Amino acid sequence: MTDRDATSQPDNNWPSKWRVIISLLLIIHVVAVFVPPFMLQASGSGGTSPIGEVVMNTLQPYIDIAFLNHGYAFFAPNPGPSHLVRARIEFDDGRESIESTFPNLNEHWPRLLYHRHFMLSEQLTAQYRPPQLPPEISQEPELAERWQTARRMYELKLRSFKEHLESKYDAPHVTLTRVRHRMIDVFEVTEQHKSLDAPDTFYDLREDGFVPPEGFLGGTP
Amino acid sequence: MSSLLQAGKSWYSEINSGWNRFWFTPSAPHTLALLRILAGTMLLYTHLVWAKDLVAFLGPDSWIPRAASIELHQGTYAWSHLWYIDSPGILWAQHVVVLIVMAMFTVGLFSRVTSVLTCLLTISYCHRLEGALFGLDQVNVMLAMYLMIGPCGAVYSVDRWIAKRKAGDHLPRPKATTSCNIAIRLIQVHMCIIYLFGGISKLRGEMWWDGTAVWYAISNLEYQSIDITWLVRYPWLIALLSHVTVFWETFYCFLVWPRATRPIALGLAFCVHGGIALFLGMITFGTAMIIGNMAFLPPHWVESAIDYFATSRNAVKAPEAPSPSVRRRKCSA
Repeated sequence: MTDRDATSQPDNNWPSKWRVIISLLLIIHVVAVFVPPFMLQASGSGGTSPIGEVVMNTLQPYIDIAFLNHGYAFFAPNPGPSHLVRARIEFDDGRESIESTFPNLNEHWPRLLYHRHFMLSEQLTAQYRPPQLPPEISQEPELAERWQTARRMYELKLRSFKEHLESKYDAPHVTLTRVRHRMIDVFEVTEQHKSLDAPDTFYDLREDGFVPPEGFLGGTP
Repeated sequence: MSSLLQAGKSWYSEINSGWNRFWFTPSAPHTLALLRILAGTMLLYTHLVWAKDLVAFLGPDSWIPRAASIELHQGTYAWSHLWYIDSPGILWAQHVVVLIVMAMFTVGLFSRVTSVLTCLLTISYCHRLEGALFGLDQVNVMLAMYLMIGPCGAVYSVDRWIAKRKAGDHLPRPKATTSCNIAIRLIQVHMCIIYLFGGISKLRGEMWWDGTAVWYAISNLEYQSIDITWLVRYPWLIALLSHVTVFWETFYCFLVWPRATRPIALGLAFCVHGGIALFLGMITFGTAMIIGNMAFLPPHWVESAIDYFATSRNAVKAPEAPSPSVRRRKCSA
């Protein structure tokens, strides 16, 4: 980086003691930025990288406080389907029940506000774990604990969304259903002339985690 | 043995001087000040949008209420002042203060203080709003964090304007400082880490390899803001865009430093993020990433560009003053 005003030479007025201290802080900070996305990638069937875990655990307080715990895996490893939430709001006082889905472009404006609602629904499904502990991880205490934490967080979010809508509509009964809008491939668009919002590209996600085979998918948004 | 020792010493000395040059060479504040204006505007807009549905996101019966937000952060060291606010009245009052602080930061008023406050408040909001965040918030915090390190209000700011009024013609040019360089370097390094892992994570996906990833991104109805699915007629173009994206992201951290390849790395960043902003419904995230990339603009470029625009704007606004000879002729007439 060229700079007309800069001396283009390091500032030698700084005492070397300060330079060492600042250098150490810079190294710690850069490592704290690097480690969280590294840990997201440095995992496999054998667990996570032990060296990464040591560094991550050591720097965890700083990473949390400074909001540095990110994976930066945008549209990765692959672009995926979208997830929405359909809410059925029912009343006891004779009012007609309401059905609404979020995010909703017609309701949420500006676009950033729409995206906030989109993230609520996306991250709810990202956190979903089926209610029963899968047998393959029940023997692994660490994995089982992670699974249970994620399940608890999912239930917490789902309950919070429900209570928010109950309060917003002053309604006693709210039923939430997670909806997946599956990806549509090139063949479907070019050969079958399917539109991106074709009804059979939306399907409800069951709470027990069962996903029907592709041929049986389809439903209303 | 002694030549090996000598080589080791010389290697260490080179590393040491390279490190010092990279982090401790003073830099002029123009790029940092431009980033303050742009990132400040983005932060202000982000928090203005929260205001549109403030109680639904932060109030007592919000999507994720305060108790749930605290529980979501259990076992972490995250903290938010919003965990202690439940009353909608207090919530609104503090949000107005937050907007004022961010507006002051953007225009560069009391920048030393408002930059620190802006960073702390941005992080605090992010910790409270877990569950509704995305890439924009990560970039917002990154920029706010580094802007508070350097003298981001040294130019193009109300602080500078006040200092000029006080000192008249005696106000010296803003100084090149090491803290400014450290702030800019941290943004640059952080951008490299973001792209490196953005690229590496895509390398694990087969769609980025078979060239269909961009198709699945542009055909995602919930993201889409402008429909460009007509690209389906040009599968080779979709594949090219997919491959270029993944290679550019992975190698950005190598391409952006040499002067010869920097325009390629930054040009592609502008195209990719411009595309995300226009077509994938994330105008804020796309713009924030472009702002982050602007940390690679040398300060004298920024200064020249802003001087040029300011001069041409003044020239359009004010009619050209008559030359002294014309004035003399008029007087004699």
